[in-house]
Amino acid sequence: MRESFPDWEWPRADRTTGLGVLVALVGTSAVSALAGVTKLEGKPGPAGLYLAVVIGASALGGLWAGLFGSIVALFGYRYFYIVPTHSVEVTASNAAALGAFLATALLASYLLFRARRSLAKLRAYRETLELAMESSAMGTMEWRSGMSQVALSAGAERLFGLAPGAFSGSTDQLLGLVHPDDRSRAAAALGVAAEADGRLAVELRFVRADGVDVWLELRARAIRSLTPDLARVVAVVLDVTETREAALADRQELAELTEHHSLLSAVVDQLPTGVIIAEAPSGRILLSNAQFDQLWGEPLRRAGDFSEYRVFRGYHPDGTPYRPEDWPLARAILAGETTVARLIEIDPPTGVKKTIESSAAPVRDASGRITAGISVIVDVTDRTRRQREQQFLGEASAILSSSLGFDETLTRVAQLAVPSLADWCAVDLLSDDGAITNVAVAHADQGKVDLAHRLQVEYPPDPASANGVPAVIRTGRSELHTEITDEMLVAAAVDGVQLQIVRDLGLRSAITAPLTTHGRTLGAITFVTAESDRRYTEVDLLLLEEIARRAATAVDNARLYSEQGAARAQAEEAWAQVSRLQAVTAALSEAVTSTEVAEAIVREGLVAFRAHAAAVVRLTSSGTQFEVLASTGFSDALSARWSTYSADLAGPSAEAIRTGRVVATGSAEQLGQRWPNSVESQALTGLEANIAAPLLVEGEAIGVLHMSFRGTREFDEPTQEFLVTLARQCAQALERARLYEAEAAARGDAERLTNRMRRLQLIVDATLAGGSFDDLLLGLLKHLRDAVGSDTATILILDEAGGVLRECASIGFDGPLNTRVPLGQGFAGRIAASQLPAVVPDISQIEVVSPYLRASGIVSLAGVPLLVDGRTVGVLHVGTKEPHGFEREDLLLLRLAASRVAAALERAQAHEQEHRIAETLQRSLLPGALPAASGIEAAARYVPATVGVTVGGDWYDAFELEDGSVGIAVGDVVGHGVAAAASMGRLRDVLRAYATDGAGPADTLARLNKMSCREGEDMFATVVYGVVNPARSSLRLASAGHPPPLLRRPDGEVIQLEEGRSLPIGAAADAEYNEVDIALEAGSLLVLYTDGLVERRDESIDAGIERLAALIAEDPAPVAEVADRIIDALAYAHHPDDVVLVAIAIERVKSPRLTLSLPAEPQSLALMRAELRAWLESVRAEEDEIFDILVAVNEACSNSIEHPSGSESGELVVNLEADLVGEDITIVVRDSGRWKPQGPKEDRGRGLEFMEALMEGVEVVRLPDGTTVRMHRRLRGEART
Amino acid sequence: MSDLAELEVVLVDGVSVARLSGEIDLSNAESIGGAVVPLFDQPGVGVVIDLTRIDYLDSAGVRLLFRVAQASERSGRSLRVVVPAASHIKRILDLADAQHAIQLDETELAAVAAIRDGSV
Repeated sequence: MRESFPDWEWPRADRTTGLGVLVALVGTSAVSALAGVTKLEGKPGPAGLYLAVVIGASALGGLWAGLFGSIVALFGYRYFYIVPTHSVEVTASNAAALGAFLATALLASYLLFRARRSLAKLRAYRETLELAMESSAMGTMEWRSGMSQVALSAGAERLFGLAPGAFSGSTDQLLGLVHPDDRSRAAAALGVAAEADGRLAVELRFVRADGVDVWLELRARAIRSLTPDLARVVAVVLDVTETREAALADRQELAELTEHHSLLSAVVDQLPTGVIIAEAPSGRILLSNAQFDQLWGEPLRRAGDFSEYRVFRGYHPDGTPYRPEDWPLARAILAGETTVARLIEIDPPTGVKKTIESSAAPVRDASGRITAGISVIVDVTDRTRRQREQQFLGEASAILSSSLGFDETLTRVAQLAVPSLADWCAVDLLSDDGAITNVAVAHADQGKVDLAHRLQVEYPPDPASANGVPAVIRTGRSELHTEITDEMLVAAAVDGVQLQIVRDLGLRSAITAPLTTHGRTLGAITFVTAESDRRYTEVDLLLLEEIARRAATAVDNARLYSEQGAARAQAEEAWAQVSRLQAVTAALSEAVTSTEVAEAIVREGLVAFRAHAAAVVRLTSSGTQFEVLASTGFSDALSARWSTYSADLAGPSAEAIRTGRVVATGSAEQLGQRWPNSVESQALTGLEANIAAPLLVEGEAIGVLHMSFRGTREFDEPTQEFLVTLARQCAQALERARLYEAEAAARGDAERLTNRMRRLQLIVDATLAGGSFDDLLLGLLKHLRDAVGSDTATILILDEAGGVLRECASIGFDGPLNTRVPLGQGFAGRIAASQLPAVVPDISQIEVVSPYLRASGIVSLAGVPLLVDGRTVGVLHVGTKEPHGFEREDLLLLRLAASRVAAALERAQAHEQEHRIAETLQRSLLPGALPAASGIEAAARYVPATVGVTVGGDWYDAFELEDGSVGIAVGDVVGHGVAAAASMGRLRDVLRAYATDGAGPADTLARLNKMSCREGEDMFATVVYGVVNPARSSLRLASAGHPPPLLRRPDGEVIQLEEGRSLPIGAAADAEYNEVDIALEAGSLLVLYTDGLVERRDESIDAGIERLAALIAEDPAPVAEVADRIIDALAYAHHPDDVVLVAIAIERVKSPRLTLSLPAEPQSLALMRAELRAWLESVRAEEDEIFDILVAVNEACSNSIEHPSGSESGELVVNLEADLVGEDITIVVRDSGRWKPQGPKEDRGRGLEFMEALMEGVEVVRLPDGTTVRMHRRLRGEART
Repeated sequence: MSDLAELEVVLVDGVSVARLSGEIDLSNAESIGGAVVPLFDQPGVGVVIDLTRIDYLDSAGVRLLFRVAQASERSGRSLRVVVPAASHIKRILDLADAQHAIQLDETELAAVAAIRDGSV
């Protein structure tokens, strides 16, 4: 309202204008007067007139009018006063006076104009003001000449409720209108207003003349004047009643607000959460409730601004403190952020840390301006602890289920518990010997952990203690000590020192829970509080028990796992060794020369032992020096020195050779200590660990297998044994190579010889060529004949009896000679007797025994004895049909040929004998017939080696066990010949003995192995032994390094039974053998074999096994057929090794057996046929099959009935058993008498003929006490499913 | 005669036809022989043994037929045995090489006709 008034003041310019007019008038008058005096004396009239004209014109018409008037007046002056009356000389002073006059007139005119315009403006103002005042509740007042009188404008009169004209103008009257309460104030105000330059603004209550109470505001101002009379005080009066009342209303509202605030406080106080409201933007806290105060422990001083938020001590999750402007409330006010449920750790003055959840939001007014912030706070200390506990449980479970060792696992769990759940956490385990071992202690302070460990050592827990960990472990019940009292510490302490230490720890509360799983207590876990001053409750114990339960399971699992892990590692190691051994064997099988053997051993041994250097060193033939056959990883210097140094020097290798044992030094120190000056210890730089095994051939060391390792190494027993095995293989292979080399050397000699006498080469080659002995001799004779140029060539062999020479081989004659020449007689006989070569240029000159010589037209003869070790074994001679002078060279040739023949003869004889013995032995050792157990059908095949001269050590065995199971063993003794066959026999007998004694497969093999190792014989064999239990349809299988048996499932799938495989028999004394249980479904076929069946020189054994598997996978057939098929396909003509094959079929469908027992009389036959027909129909035989079988069986029965014999006593009975296995029908007819085909000749055997024609297999066994006919026929089975 | 087999003897065109049915085995071969052999003693040009309805026959039955064949030789009268082709019985007779000693026909009609023709 105040602002709505225009500035109420006289314009300053107009005031000066007024002043200027005055000055102009005065000046003009003065100039006029002066002019009149000086020049226009006597004529004042016109001057006055002139002045009047100018002023009037100016006043009336403004400036331009004034100017015009002046000009008119000037001309008028001249015309009327100067020109018509007298001429006035215009002088300088005259002109100046005129100019001054004109200027003055002009100035006056201008000033008048200004004054007139200001007055007009003023008038307009006044009018406007009056209008404004009238239209509004406003008036003006003016005191003049002192304060007693006051002039009121119309508006003012209205305001005061005075009727126009009713006001006397007295100040007192006006004061009388003032509300009595305000009168003194009003008087004082007037006094102030009257002061010099006083300004006043006062609101006063008036009681208007019409009785209405109004609030009027008076704004007064004293206006100065030069004269006190002119001084006045002007005032504006306006009605402020409404404003005033509005303010009053505002005040009431405020009061109400205050009341609301209290109400709000009261409501907010009732909320379960802490609430705090702060003003924006200062942050001054307007309100906080009781819960908020309680949260902080005590009512906090209300903060006046953000800086005072420092009293709230809060921490971020990472521990950094909250700055005042970080708090959600501050963020809400300052940035308008809304925060929802932020977790804050607070540290109230009470010292009990809490976790709160703070939410905050800004409060905005209608314009969106932030006016306040509100924050809600919840105490979530318990909840977060529970969450932490749950989280702990989760994390602990994760740790516990990890595959760590349980010591580390438990330690980590204990560390997890500290410090959130406990200040101390300890885990104790009960060991097998009953001792309690602390496996984990955790505390935030590592120093305290160390202290705990020391305490544990110095004061071990008393297992008999009435409480604490021992008691918990003993009883399996948890313990809760909410408060650990000093008495308890005193009671538990062993001595003062311990008591003091424990007291210093400041233990407060403790809980202990047992680690129990499967009803067994494994240990205990303990939580203790100290620094945190926390007290445990039942709830905490529940948590601990849960942890304990999980930890116990983990410990249990970990123990199981580590046991299994150890077992598995052992098994894997064993298997790895077998694999390595096989790799070595494979490598050796390809090595021919000693160097190749040694290189193979070095190469494979390096891999097998993960060694860094290896060497095969052989003793020279003198036995005094080493010869490095192959080495790798050693420095050249060492190899060089080794190759020359004497074998009697000290060192592991020499020691191994001398003692025949493995010599191992695990570190360089050991080596140096034992052989301080040995070449090896000096030369083996960088190779710390060494192991040497002697290469033994028949107990004699022929060299050393040496392995070296960087860094130290422990050589445990299995490693040493494995090395021995490797060394044994190496030695055998070296020996074999030596023989080969000897022969190769002989061949080399021969070849050198033939360089001189080329023709001999053919002879020598002939003797060395492979093939049969006869072929060899014939080839040799042929070459000899060609070489000598004879017509015939003959070898005679001295009979074993020593008396007669028999022709063994000859060429050039028409047929076999069948000659026998007594020793000492005739040409050959004399040579044999004298052991001297003989040449007969003309046989007519001498006595000849054999007519064939002359008969065939022989003229000249030359012969040499066949000598072995100085003993005559035969005679070689050549003959010509033309006279021939045999030269020295021919004789030499003959002699050389004779030596080859003699050697070959000797070898052949020895081999033949051994082969015969071995094969006989072996065959005699193989079981005659496989056991006929019900539910299985078995077939076995043995094929001795056809190439080479000796039999191997392959064998098989099958026998019935007590529970109806059948034990089946297949083995392969390393080596050939009689020794291998004998070993095989022993192994077979012992295995059968153990097996029938009730030992399972693994046990049997383990015992077999022990026996083999114990006896110290160089017996090395692979064996697979399985027990087939037809009743349980199961196979238990164990293998000692044998190729995997194959199993064809009923669905045709063939699998290799790789499991249950361990080291070969004789490989390591403490080798462990495992067995596997394999389900044998009906219709399965199990095939066991020896490697001869699947090994080819030019391919891997796997390929052979695959081929065998493919054969087995073919259409099912009776096992005998399967066995034949396999042998035909795989054991081809020139197999160098024995082959054993055992096939066992598990009966597919077991139909009810038909058993009939009939009186031995013809009338029984029809009944028998009826029964058998019904049975055959039940197994869905077809009509023609039924007829055939009926006839065949009827014949068998008829024979029994028709021709009874034997016992006369008792009733004669014919028994019939019919079985169906798969598609195979087997019928057995037994009688109690002898079956003697009688009757007419043409009739005789017709029954048998019929049986054989109608059935596929008929077996008649006649024994004194009865005859058994076993018949077999395979049903076609198309109609069957 | 047992109840295992039945014998019916009819005279067809002067030929004695012994029609056997059922099974022949050790238990009844003898008695069947006893019934059939005397037919050669009776008037007529020959004997036909019809095995068409025989379900079972074994070596005892074969022996029986050979015995009857011997009786035929002795009496000088023809014997023909009727056995359908591709029957079980034919197979058994084939196995025993019976066709060398015994004339076989596939139908009774053919057998009788053969004896009649042979006698003419």
